[in-house]
Amino acid sequence: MSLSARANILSRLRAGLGKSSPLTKGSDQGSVAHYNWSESEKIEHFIEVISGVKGEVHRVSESNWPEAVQTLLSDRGIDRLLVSEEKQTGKRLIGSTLELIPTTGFDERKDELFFSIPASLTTAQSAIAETGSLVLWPDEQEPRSMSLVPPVHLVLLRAQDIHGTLADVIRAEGWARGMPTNALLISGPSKTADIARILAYGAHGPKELIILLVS
Amino acid sequence: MPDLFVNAMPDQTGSDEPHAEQPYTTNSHARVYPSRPEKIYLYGNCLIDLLQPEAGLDALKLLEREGIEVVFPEQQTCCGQPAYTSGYDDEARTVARMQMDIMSEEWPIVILSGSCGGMMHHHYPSLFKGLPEEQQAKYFASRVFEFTEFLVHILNYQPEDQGNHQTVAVHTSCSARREMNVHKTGWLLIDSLKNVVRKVHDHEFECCGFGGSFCVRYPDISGAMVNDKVKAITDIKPDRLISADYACLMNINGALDFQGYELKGTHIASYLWERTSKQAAGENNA
Amino acid sequence: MPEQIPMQNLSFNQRVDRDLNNPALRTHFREAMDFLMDKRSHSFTDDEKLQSLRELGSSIRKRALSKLPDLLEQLENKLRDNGIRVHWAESSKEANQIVLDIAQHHGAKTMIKGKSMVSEETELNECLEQEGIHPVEADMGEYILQLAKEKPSHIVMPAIHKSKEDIAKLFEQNLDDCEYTEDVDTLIQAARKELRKQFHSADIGLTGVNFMVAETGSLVLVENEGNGRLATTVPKVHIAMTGIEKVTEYLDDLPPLLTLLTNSATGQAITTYVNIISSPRKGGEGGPEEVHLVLLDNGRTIPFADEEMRQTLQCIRCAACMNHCPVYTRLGGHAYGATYPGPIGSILSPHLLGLEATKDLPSASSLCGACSEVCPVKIPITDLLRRLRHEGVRKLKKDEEPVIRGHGAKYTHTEKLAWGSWSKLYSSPALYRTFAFSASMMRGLTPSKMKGWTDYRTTPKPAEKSMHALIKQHRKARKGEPL
Repeated sequence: MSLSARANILSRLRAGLGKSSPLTKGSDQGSVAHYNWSESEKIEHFIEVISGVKGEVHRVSESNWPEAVQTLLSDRGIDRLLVSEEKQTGKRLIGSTLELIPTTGFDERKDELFFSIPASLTTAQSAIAETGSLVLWPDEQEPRSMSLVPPVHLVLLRAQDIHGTLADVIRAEGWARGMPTNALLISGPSKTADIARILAYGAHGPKELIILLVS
Repeated sequence: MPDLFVNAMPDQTGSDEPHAEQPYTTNSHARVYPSRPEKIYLYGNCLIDLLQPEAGLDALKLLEREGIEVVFPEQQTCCGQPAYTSGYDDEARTVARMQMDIMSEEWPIVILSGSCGGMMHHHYPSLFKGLPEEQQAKYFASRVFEFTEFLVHILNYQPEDQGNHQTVAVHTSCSARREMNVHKTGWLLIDSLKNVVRKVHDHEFECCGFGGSFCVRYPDISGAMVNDKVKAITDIKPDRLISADYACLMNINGALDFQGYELKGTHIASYLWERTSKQAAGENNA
Repeated sequence: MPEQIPMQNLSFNQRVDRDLNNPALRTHFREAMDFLMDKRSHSFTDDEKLQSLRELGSSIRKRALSKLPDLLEQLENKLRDNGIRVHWAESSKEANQIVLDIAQHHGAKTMIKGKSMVSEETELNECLEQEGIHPVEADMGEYILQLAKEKPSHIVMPAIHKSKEDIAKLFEQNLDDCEYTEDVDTLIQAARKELRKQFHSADIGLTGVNFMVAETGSLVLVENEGNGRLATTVPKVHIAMTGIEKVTEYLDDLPPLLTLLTNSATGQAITTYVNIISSPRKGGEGGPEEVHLVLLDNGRTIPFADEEMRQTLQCIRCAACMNHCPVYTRLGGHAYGATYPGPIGSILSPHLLGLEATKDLPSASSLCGACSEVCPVKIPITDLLRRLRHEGVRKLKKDEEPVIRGHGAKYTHTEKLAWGSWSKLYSSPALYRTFAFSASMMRGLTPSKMKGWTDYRTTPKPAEKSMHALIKQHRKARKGEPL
């Protein structure tokens, strides 16, 4: 709004710094923890941490995961699934007993999204062993509300995509070169302890987070 | 259970028996200690001087018994902390300067209070930063040792307990804990008394509410803190309460007395003297 | 809880009196702070690693502040390239006006809010309501407070002072079809249901920001509930509000800061959601069509100008300092009378509000140092409290510019004189030697307050002989008759 606010703030900051010279990354002290985890240790650690915050992990294979999805949902009495048929997730479920709900055009289908879709299945781009986090970069086929609005969120994760730490992911995937509209780390189902410090799940986001770990 | 918090923070907030195997390793910020000196300065602190002078005398006797020549500079007054924490830097400097001047020889300065120690070791260098006395303040600060720190790290003192069985609650001052990092040396000394059992009280790591001028400026907040401290200590029914800081003891003792408890905290110098001198231990038990 | 009285009507001491003498509140805060301290200490189990991580966190924040104006310009350029609009506000009033203008431009009637302490600082809700726009707080804690018409008492867990019973009653009175229940799951589901409706229909989403990354032009939001994600995903417009100090230089700086923030705040290795926003929607991936960022100064440039006090701005708002503060534990957050309570509030509020209005805050601390010890970015909080005390009682030299608004607010001639006499006494051994401990002297230092000591304690009695005298006597005796 006001150009003068910007100029005033910046000039106060510059005056405040005076002639002091800026610090560089090279002069940083201290360090973060490093891990020398093997592939299997990363997987074990990821499972341990995310299970600790009520993420449900199922180890599946490339061939049997569609079957696992159907079983998990039918166990919950769910027969409809929000999933993209453009992605491998949806393609592999075509012809299953599940009714597949298309993932595009949500602007016109807000009521349906908010009040009637029971579950969704998305792909995880990668994951983080240290903190038990899934990394999601929502896109046109898997919009960001898919992992947020339905009460049950299923995620397909490939074991080889589990990295050690967030710093490892940022480097390995070259995040600094270009960030997507929205990058997400998801570590468990939505929760709150705002009432008397008692933990309750399903505050605003999914009540259940189910990970299909493919290896 | 992780050892460690250099400092401070509790492994848990409730009370518990101290761990028998608790390692007393000092942390990564540990000082490099000089070898055993022949001569030291003994610094009482103004509250001990006026209110619990026996602690000063007991410290002196104990150090002399260990073969240390103790110099007690007669001109010593106060470290300057009351003015410093109230924001009166000039007034604090005037007093601090005098303490530095009267203890200018190279001997270690042994202080009977963690908070005065913290003032001299930790804050003198910043108080004189950019002033002509800066180097003097740094050199002075490097020679300052809290009493229990000196006993453990420099004298390697091993008390020979002559007393009867007693349970003890220990209160460590926040400055001793966080500025001098010497809370463990007090525990170590108490734990090395073979007939003494140290009991941990609820929220032992927490401030007693003294805080210098804080306790008179905000008496109700301070009062709430000291009342909680008194409750935590009396809940574990220790035979004795020991602290290396008389300022905290003045606060806690005042509240104990106010509430009608017989328990009265003792300075660790007096307690160590009492436990290790046959005569004194006998007197106490009589 | 007694009925909330607007805090500007009570003095600090009156608020202290009110809250200290509320046994339920005292018990509640003790338990809550113990809970949070335990959480933190169980998540940082290796002290050596913790100290090294704190060192790094401090370096990252110091580095960002050392080039803050450049980073803000870099951030602004990046955000603009990404399609996010940046606004600058010098004061709360300006910030609120910016938000209001955006809302009115879109003809907005409702605004759904993720948790934002900066919007508490600017009192945005009051401003919106005056203009007929209905703000709805969606963070569960903030939602509870909005129903109760109260202010946050903690910066991470805003409704930590409310009991389950308080909340059950509030929901019964305010939510449709919500019967009285103390079952927390049921209560949360009731709020979820209500707030879903609000998310569904809100015109604008407003949130705070935890970190901004200059390198990539990203806004980072950290939360467990999903309210922040909904507020930044569902409405057509998202407005983020934050202080100018929240920027970091590189994306690589983010992981250590996140680790420090969540572990220090709640003992979590990470929160459920870390939401990194770098542009408005580009296509069908959803999200708002417009994203705005409001950068707020509101007094932050004041401590920035002083190298020592600049460290105040390293804060990443984890609240560990208040969780570990024995004073905060006993008072709770409302007694401080400012948006940011506890130790960080006591060093920040004087800059935001001026020392005149906050002169008790730096003094109402025993300087125990628990705050500095746990601060994840190593802000020397006790040193800064003392510095503010110094600025509060210091007279400016000729031609000297004050470093803070309300400089010298605590100066009184009587106290200055008293410390002058104290200094003379304690720097003159002869005077000191003849000085007998006198209550009148103590009274001179803190007029009329000595009484406070004896409300809780008996008066210490001077010993018959001083340590000086005892040692002299001991030495004489030894000369005569060696022990």
